[in-house]
This record gives sequence, structure tokens and C-alpha cells, in this order.
Amino acid sequence: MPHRKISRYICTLLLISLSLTTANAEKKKEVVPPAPLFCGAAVFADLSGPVMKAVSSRFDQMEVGARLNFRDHFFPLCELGIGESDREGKENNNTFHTRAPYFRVGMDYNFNKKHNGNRLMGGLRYGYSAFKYDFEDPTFADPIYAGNGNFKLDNQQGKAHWLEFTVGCETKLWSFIRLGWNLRFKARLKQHASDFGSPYYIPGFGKNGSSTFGGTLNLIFDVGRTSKKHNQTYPNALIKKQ
Amino acid sequence: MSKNILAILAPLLGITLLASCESIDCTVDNVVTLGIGFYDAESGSAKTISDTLTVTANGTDSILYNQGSRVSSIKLPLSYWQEADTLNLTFYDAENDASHVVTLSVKKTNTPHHESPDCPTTMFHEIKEIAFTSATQYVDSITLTDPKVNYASQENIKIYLHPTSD
Repeated sequence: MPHRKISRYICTLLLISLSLTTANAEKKKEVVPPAPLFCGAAVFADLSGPVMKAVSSRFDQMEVGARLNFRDHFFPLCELGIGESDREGKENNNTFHTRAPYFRVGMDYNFNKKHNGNRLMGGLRYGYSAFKYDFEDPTFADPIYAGNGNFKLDNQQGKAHWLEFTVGCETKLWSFIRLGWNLRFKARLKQHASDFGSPYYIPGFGKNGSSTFGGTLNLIFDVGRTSKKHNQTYPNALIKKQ
Repeated sequence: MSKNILAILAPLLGITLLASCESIDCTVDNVVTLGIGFYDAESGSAKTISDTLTVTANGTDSILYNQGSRVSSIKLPLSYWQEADTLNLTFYDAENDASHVVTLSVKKTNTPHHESPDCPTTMFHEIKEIAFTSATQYVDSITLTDPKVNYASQENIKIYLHPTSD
């Protein structure tokens, strides 16, 4: 239920910002010529992974990615990372461990019609991870009948597919370096788990469940055509002074 | 430029807080029990027994169900490690001061089940075979309706009581 409320809130914010952008554009009645078809490429790294590792013992992920830029609006991209969880139960001695790669492919769309270096992004991604996980309960005991034992599972196979809906923004820090963040609503499409139970954490997805939220803080490096220019204005783009 | 950087960095605090939030959400109803329903052998409808019911089992000193009266269904824990459980159902007829003991044998497989490491590990079962013995004509027959004993199971075994059991 809280997930629904939050997603509704995010959708409302997105719609408001979209309508404001549209209204603003209509008001000024500026005709902004399209940017070149191919505006360059970029590579990026997620800075939130090390932050998560520092503040949370639940899980973390180290992630890098690359994207292309078409017309300064369309950004097909791929993201690769390694997700890790080394978790001990808060009120028992159970342990869970996994460390595995994951990838996502998708596209971002820049809603900002001006080519001024600031971007308001919305996007969609498909994510996949195949991984192995371990679970151990060293004090697994029958509460009524006699007997107890060490319940240990090693190398259980897991797979998961999911979709991510993202909203975010980014700006130019200096020259070819940019900083951006995005928030993500993740919906699990399908998972395969062992007969003994589902994994606590899915690399790249987060805490296992039908849906979850996440986010990244990306340090972005423009490469190729855009970085050579060292600015974000395009030859045939018209930018009027406010 | 500095405004842009501030605006861009502000959500970092949110992401950090989001990452540091932690909640334990285990299944609320995380007790795995065998569901048994009582039915009238003639009509086939659910039956509320008027006698007092107590259930014990071989392999434990615990009383699994203690002196229940006017019940139409019960839930009993099964053993984690045994391949077969023997449940002793004692129906006490206070009016006639008579006891009817029905021994229910349940052969099963046991599969450990885990969720989050924060949650207790439990044991799921799959019933392979059931049988009963009774010295008196109290139980007419039994049927296995759902062999899977897990969080979701409601009723696994139907016990049809003989019409003279009242």
C-alpha cells in the first residue's frame, strides 16, 4: 500500500513537471531546432553503491553504464553491475549471502526542450540477473518434537527479470563531467528460486519482493563528439536569453 | 552552477536515508500446521463434535490439542524430521464417561523453507499417505484433500465421523 502511494506521488510530480514544461514552452513560443541526430556518448558510474555499502549492511551494488545520445532527447543505455548481500538475521543466527553480476538495458528520454545542459529524464529499463545464493540456519530446531539440526544451503540457483521505471535529472558540473540522479520503481516480472525458498536479495533489483524502490547517483563523463566541444550547445540549436 | 549542484546533490540524502531504512517483514501467519476437518459420514457436511477432543503424538510429551470442545476443525503441528507421525486423537464422551481413541498415521516428506534471514526457518511437508486405526466405531473414513502442508494450507485431511459418534 505505501508503495502505491509513493508511486502515485511520483507519477503526479512527473505529470506536473511535464505540464509545466509544456506550458512554459507554449508561453515563450520559442522554436528550438532539433539537436543533431547523434550527439555523442557517455559512460557513467553509480556513486550510491559505495554510500550504501558504508551506511547499510543489507546489500550494495557497484554499477557502471554507457549510453548514446540522439537529438539530446533519446538515450539508449546499458548498465552493468555487481550486487552483493551479506546479511545476518537481526533476532537469530540465520545468514544469507550472494554476490553476482546483473545488467539492465533501456532508454531515457529528456523532457527538457532546451539544450542548456540540464536534463529532466524519464526512462524504462529491463533488468536481469542469474545468481547463486547461500542460506544457513545453524540452530534450526523443531519447537515441539525432538530434534534439531544445521540447515545449510549452498549455491542455490536463482534468476530474476524485472522492469524499472525511472525519473531523474542531471546537470553539467564541468566541461565533459555531469552529475545526475534518478529514482526507480522496480517491478519484478519473474523469478526462479530453489524449492527451499526465495532469495532475500536479487542483485540489481534489491530486496526481493513483487516491487521495490531504488535510486542511483551517477557521475557521467561525456565522450566523443560532445566532450570535444566541451560545452553542451549544438551548432543548429537556438537558445534564447531569458 | 552551485545551485545546480545543490539541487542535484539534495536527493543523495534521500537515497542514503532510503538505503539505511530497515524493516523486518516476515510472514505474519508463519506457523505451518496440518489442517483437519470433521464431517458427518452420512450427509458429508461439516460436523461440530460434541465430545471433548485431546490430541497427543508419539515422539513428544507435548499435548498438541488440549480438551477442545464443540470444534469442527483443528490444526496440528507435524514433526520436522520424522518421516511419519502418529497422532492420537482422544474423543471423550462426558455423558457416558467413555473415551474413543483414533490413531492417525501420516507419512510425509519434509522440506525446510526460508524467507528473509530475519525470519525463522520453518518446515513444509508433503503428505504421501494417511491411515487410521480405531478400537471403536467412531471414525467412518478419512480422505486426503490437500497433501501440501505450508503457510497457505487450510484443510489437508477430512475425517468422516460415524453417525453414532454423537
